[in-house]
Amino acid sequence: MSLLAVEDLRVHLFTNRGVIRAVDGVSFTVAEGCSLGIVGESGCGKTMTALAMMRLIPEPPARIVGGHIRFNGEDVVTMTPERLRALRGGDIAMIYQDPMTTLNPVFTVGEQIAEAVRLHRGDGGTAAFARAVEMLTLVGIPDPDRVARAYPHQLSGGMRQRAVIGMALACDPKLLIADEPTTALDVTIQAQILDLLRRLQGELGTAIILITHDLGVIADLVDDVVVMYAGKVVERATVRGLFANPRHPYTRGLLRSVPSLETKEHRLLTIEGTVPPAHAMPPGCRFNPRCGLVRDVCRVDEPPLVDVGGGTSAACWALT
Amino acid sequence: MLGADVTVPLLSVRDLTKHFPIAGGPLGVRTAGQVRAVDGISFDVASGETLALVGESGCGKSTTGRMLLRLTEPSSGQIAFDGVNLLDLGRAGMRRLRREIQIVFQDPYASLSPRLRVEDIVAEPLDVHGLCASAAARRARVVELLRLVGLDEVHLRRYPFEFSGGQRQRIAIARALAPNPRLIVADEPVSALDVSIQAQVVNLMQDLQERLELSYVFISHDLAVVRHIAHRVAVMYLGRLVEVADTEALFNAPHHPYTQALLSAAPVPDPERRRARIVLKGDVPSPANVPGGCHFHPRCPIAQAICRETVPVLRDVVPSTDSGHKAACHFGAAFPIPV
Repeated sequence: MSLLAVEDLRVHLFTNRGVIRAVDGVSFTVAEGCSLGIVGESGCGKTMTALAMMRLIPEPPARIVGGHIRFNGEDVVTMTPERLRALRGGDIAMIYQDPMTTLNPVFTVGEQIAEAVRLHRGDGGTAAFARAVEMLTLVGIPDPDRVARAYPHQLSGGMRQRAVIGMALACDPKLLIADEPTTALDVTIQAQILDLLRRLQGELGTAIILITHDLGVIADLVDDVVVMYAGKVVERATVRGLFANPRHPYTRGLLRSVPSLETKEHRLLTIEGTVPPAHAMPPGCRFNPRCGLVRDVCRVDEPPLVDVGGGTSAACWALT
Repeated sequence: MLGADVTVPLLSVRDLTKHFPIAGGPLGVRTAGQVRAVDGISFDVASGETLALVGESGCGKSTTGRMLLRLTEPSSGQIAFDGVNLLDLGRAGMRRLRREIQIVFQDPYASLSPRLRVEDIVAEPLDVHGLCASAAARRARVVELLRLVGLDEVHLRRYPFEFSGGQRQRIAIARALAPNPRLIVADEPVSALDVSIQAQVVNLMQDLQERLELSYVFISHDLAVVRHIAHRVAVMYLGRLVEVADTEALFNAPHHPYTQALLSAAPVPDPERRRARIVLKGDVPSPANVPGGCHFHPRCPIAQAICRETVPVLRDVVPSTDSGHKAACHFGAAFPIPV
């Protein structure tokens, strides 16, 4: 049985300008100890999907209007507030893009990690603080005893993100959701954090959902990938399958528009046009106004996500 | 008329320095130290050329870009544009010269006034420099500029909030082009944009360069974009240039250990090649408290005693050749970094 199974998840935003279908029928699974990447551009619904998994979406205006999120067989969508409190930071932990806003500026790093340990594991103050120091050691912070007594502003960006990862893992979660964990960091620090996440996943067996817009980071870290566009999953594949043989026209366009470090192309290939505004999605396939393979059916009916062979599923009429 | 002298670069920067004072003392009026944001850098940009300034946060690349327009006042050094030292000019002279040098900023949500219509945003440099004789001429020029960047006259009366990030960056570029500049300083112009939109804007900048013979100083931390757009690359670390080379030479044979680490750290979109990276230890030190000798030595995998004491000069990688490939390292590629 998979650790997490998201089935036909729908999150809608109820705004003055109408209903926005931010997440519109998203399904995927994550097995224990595995890693899944969710990739897509701004506004594709990847962060909303991640927040929904811990029921952290802003309600109102957002609401889960359909689907199931089964974590260890239990549906998060119908969970009681008490059970949710135990889940958040206990069984599922989350790290965000900006470690400075994740950490509370008026408490030391050690106190903040220890707080989670006290609440979820019922440890006493001393034991919890010792656990905090242990976590800081685990994430490769030099001089962890001193850093545990330091305030967030005294640490560099990379050290803060390490501390946040240590905090997230302090209660032995089964699933870690990382939302753009390296986007705010410099490239040499990003390399350190990616190596750290890979090492910890190997050592602790934590499943990871990595949310990012950066295809390089995806290629580096995860086993499976979900590509989202305008609230929909357009392609689902193994990481090797996705990069070796992308099937959906959007995925192909996205991969082509990344400039390469190895070679110099004369001209970058692009995807024409822009993502349509969220409250004015076109009928049929949401990618149809930008698609080179568009046919009449694409403007009328939404393509289902179907198996297209090689372990890949894609939602495109041209592939059926 | 004198023929264009190909040996005189359009822009020539020498020993450019910016030290910001750190306020200290009980009243905060004494100078407690210096942040050495830019610490004596020299480079040239030829006409029609793109020079990329790359480096991580705090390396001084943006400060350098701002100093090229004197938006930040240099502490010392020279900036010669077409033979004129900018630092000798008064306010009026500098204002005239800014027709020739324009800037595009990273965040098009912050760089465009939300209260102005697109027409007035793009026309602002025209108004400032008195470049349009009539309202009709102004309108015609703005429409021409919008078409140049892939927008058109239906957008004239709209406000910035009605545009996506990529379109806003096009508006910012149109504004920069308005006074017919010869040099554009582009400070992370595509970093805030999604990948597919980023490619559109990069292509646009290249097309404009060809059509208008523009020179760019392209400031970026994204090495893949730099490889694509730049003719030459200058790598900065803690206020100093560590390596300058033609783009192909820099990417194919990086010399400085920092450049090697930077290239190796960039994640590549190919899962078959999860590479053995050179992962640098530690963080970039604060520019308020820079290490002695080579600024890079505390993180450098091949540092020796000399690196802690002596500042390496930027010199030809292959002595007495004219390849233009320079690096500031006592050792460099002579000591391949163990992965």
